[in-house]
Formats: sequence, structure tokens, C-alpha cells
Amino acid sequence: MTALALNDVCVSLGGARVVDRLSFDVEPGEWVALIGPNGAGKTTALRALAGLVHYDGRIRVLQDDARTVARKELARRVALVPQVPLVPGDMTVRGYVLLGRTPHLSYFGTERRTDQHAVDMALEQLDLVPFADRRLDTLSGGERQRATLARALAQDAPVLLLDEPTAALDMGRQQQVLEIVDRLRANRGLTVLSTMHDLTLAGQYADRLLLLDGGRLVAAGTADEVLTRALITEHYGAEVEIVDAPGSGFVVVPVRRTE
Amino acid sequence: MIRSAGARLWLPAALVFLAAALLAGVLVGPVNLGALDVVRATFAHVFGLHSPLSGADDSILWELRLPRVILAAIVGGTLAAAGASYQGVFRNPLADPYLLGAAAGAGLGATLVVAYAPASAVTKDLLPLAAFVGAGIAVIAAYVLGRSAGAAAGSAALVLAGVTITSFFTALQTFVQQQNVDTVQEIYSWLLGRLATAGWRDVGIVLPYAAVSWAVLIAHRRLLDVLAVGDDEAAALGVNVARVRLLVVVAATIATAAAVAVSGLIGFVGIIVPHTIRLLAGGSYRLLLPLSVIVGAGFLVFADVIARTVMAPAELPIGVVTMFFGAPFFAVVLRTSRRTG
Repeated sequence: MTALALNDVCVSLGGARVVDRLSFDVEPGEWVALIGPNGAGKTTALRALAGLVHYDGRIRVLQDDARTVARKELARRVALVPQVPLVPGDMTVRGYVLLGRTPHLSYFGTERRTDQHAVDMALEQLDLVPFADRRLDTLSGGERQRATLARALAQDAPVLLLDEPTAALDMGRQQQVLEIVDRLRANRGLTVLSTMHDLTLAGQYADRLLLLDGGRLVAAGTADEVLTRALITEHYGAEVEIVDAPGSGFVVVPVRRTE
Repeated sequence: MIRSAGARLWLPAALVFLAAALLAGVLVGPVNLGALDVVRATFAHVFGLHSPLSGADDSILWELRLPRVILAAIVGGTLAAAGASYQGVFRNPLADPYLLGAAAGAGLGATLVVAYAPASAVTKDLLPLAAFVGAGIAVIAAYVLGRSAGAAAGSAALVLAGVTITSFFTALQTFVQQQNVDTVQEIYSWLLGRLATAGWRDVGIVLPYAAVSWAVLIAHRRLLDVLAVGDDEAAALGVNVARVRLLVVVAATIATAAAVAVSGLIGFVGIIVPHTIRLLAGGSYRLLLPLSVIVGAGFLVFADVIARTVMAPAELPIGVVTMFFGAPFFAVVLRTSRRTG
């Protein structure tokens, strides 16, 4: 049983091939991070999994071919947290998290007690109870990110797709959000597939890293297999040192060469 | 602000506002009818009982004031709900019910009838029909044009298509009007909106469309909240965005076309009413749509009272009233309640 399985997935946008014959599996309960330079196709791969872009090849979600799964059923299996969510400022946090229940409701249906309960749980797990009646445009960036996560959590999908969950957060908030995701993964048995820019954090939190470049998968494995100086120099064009920090995994340090 | 408490507070307040407007609408006029008698006579008519008013007074109430007030309420509620819905599906605060060309199309249809059809009783019946058909053709043209730009272009393409169609139909309408200068007065008074000739027939024309439209729009209130997070995220939540947008636009447009057909072009209601409610009661469509119907109805009835009293016995065009009094009122609401939450 695999949670996600991609088989020769290709996506073209505006004539350019952005994702190129991408194949990988994600096991249930696993946290896999997609890493790679800008334009590597990480976000597009997530969007294909969420059914938002046309793709060739095959995607399986909880064993079923994603093409044969209805849009609503797909949303019950896969929750997507976009990198820059469109935040309706005049909505309350509770109203926003309630939107996560959408795939569980009929077209003209309204939320029942079970839906309200799921929202209560999500608010609680992300420490948002005191914010429940606040408008979204009064929240800080970190609080907003938690609200978006809560919405995805209320969706009650076993697979969580996170697009740069820590972008625009300070160091402390980054750790906080990633710890929350890890805790939820443990508590709820979620499968997490996230794109990540910060390689050190990716190595610390994900079970496996998949390195993409030019839409292709160029390396896969644990942090010590993928976070190598050679691979990063080749695919990011960056000068780095990899420092083994015992107990904290590998730290990727940018290096400035001065003549 | 707590959502459910908001509903408990604002829904009754809106209903009181509407009731006050309706009462003012039937009471204000050259002949004094008396509040109690008016209410009793109205019930008498509805349930087939004997009216307490004298014959002449009863006719004034039943043939003149009541149909006009009811028509104003239906048109106001429709324009406000349609405006709120358009703002939701296009995520554009400036969207109004005329965004996709309904006003320009209706204007052209009405102008053609006034200019070219021989003046007769038949022409009078033809005018609402021509306005309705004109509005329908304009919006369908805008929709087809917008879709031809590709589904990927989304709502922006649709809005631009609406602007294009509006310009084109307005150009045609202006041309026809210039060719028939003798009818300018009549066309102009239609373009500025009129409820003066309202009768039960007009109510009968617009009510079925309005009722169906209100039901469809209010039924979509939860999905309109989902669309607020954008097409992509709504789709990732399992919503068929294109279908929701089409259904809402069709429902809002048909009712707008029917309202325009019987009352001409009444501007600003579709913008001012939903935004005032947003500023006071919050942005969720669950509350916004029902409130828009109720408050929009009351707003237009009050506007009509002003239209027929400030320069009595002459009447102001109601479109002038909604803008002249609506704009300063909206400015006050905007200044006092922004960002208090």
C-alpha cells in the first residue's frame, strides 16, 4: 500500500515541460520533502497531485488512479496548503477553517455538528482557539500560516501537501510550524509531501528527500545521501559546505569564496 | 465579531428596516391614508375581506402605492443580491449586476423600441421585453467571448469581455439615440430608472425571476465563501469552480435583466448595499446574501419615497436618488467602520 505513487508524470506549461517523467512513491505516514532550485518543478508536481494541472502519466492516490477519483473525493484524500494562500481578510479564522469541510458537504449542504467538531479540533491543535473570532487580516504571518494549516487539517485528508510551509516565517516560527506538522503526522498518521527551500530543515524533518532539477528527479534518499556537496553544487549552482551536526542532522552552510 | 451572534443581531435589524421602508412607502404621498388602515386594507385585499378604506383611498393604496412599493422592494433586493453575488464569483469589489453588459444590452433594446416602434399600447408592452432580451444577448455575448479566451484566463477574461460588450452596446445605443433626437427625453428617463408607472403587471413580470434568483443565490452562499480563497484553492477543496460561477452568474443575470426590464437602469444599489453590509456585519456570504435581499429591498423603497417627495409633484428619476443619497451615505459608512475589528 502506497499513499502516493507517481509514474512517468509529465506537465507542460505554456509549451515548456516543467515536470519531466517524474516517478516516485510515498509510503503512508512518511514525510517526503521535494527539494531543488527555483523552477525545478516542485510546486507543479504538488499541483498535479492536487488535480489542479493537466498532466500525462499516472498518479495514484491511496491506490486509486487519480483520474478516476472524483474532484470531491480527491479533496477528501489530499489536502493542499499553497505557498501563498489567497487570504480573504474579512473572514474570521473559524469561518476560514470551516472551508476545509467543503469536500465533506453536498452541493447545497451546510455544516453539521461533526463538521463543527472537526473545526474545533483543528483550531485546538494549532493553538488558534483564542483567535477563532478574529478577522484574518488582523493576524501575523505565522498565525495566518497556522490558520491555513488548520483549514487543511479540518479537511481530514490522510495526505497533506505543503508547498513551502515555512516561506516568509522567521526561524522560530519555521521550527514551530514544522514541529506542529510532525506532531500531527504522528497523532493522525498523516502522510506529508512538502516542498522545501531550506535544505537544513528539510533534512531535519523529512524521512526522505527528493532532489528535482529541470523537472526531473535527480537524486533521492535520506539526508546524508542527498545533501552532499557535489549534488548541491551541481544542481543549485551554490557553493556550500555540509556540516554534520551530531543530533541535528546535516547543516547546509553557504560559503562565500573570496580570492 | 461572532458569526452566529451577528446573524441574530443583523437579520432582525434588517427586517425592521424593510418593514419601516414598506410602511413609509405606502404612507407617504399627497393623500393621507393612516398607518393602521393601510395595514388592515392590505390584509383585506390579500385575504379577500372588506377593506376599511374608502373606494378612492383604497384604489390609491391598491392600484398606485402598493404595487410601486412592492416593485421597488423586489428590484432593490434583486440588484443588491445580484451585486453581492457578482462580487463573490469575480472576487472584485467593484463588480455590479451590470458588469457583464446587462445594462448596456437592456439600454439598447429599450432604445430600439422607443426609437423605431410606433407609439402605441403594444409598444409599452414591448419595451420590457426588448430590454430583457437585450440584456440577455449582451451577457451571453460577454460570456462566450470571455470563455473563448480560454478557461485558464478565468474570471479576469470574463470581466474584460463584459467591458468590451458594454462599450460596444453603449456605442450602438448612443448612435440610435442620436439618430432619433425627438425621443431622447423618453429614452433618457428610462435609462435613469423609473418606478412611476409601476403596476401589478410589472410585479408579475419580475417576481418569478426574482424569486428563483434569490433562492439560487442564497443556496450558493456557502460556496461563495469557498470561492473567496481563489479558484485554485476552491478546486483543491473539491469545488467545481466554473460550474458554481456559471450558475451564480446565470441566476443573478436573469433576475437583473427582469428588474431592468420593468424599472430601467437603477445604478449603485448592487454596490452600496452589499458593501455597507460587509462593513457592518462581516464578509461571509452566509449572512451577506440574505441580508442583501432584505436591505436592498428596503433601500430602494426608501429611495423611491425620496424620489417622489423632494420635488413633489414632480418626480426625480430613482437612479439619480440612489446615487445622490447613496454615495454620501456610503462614504460615511466607509469612514466610520473600516478596520474596527
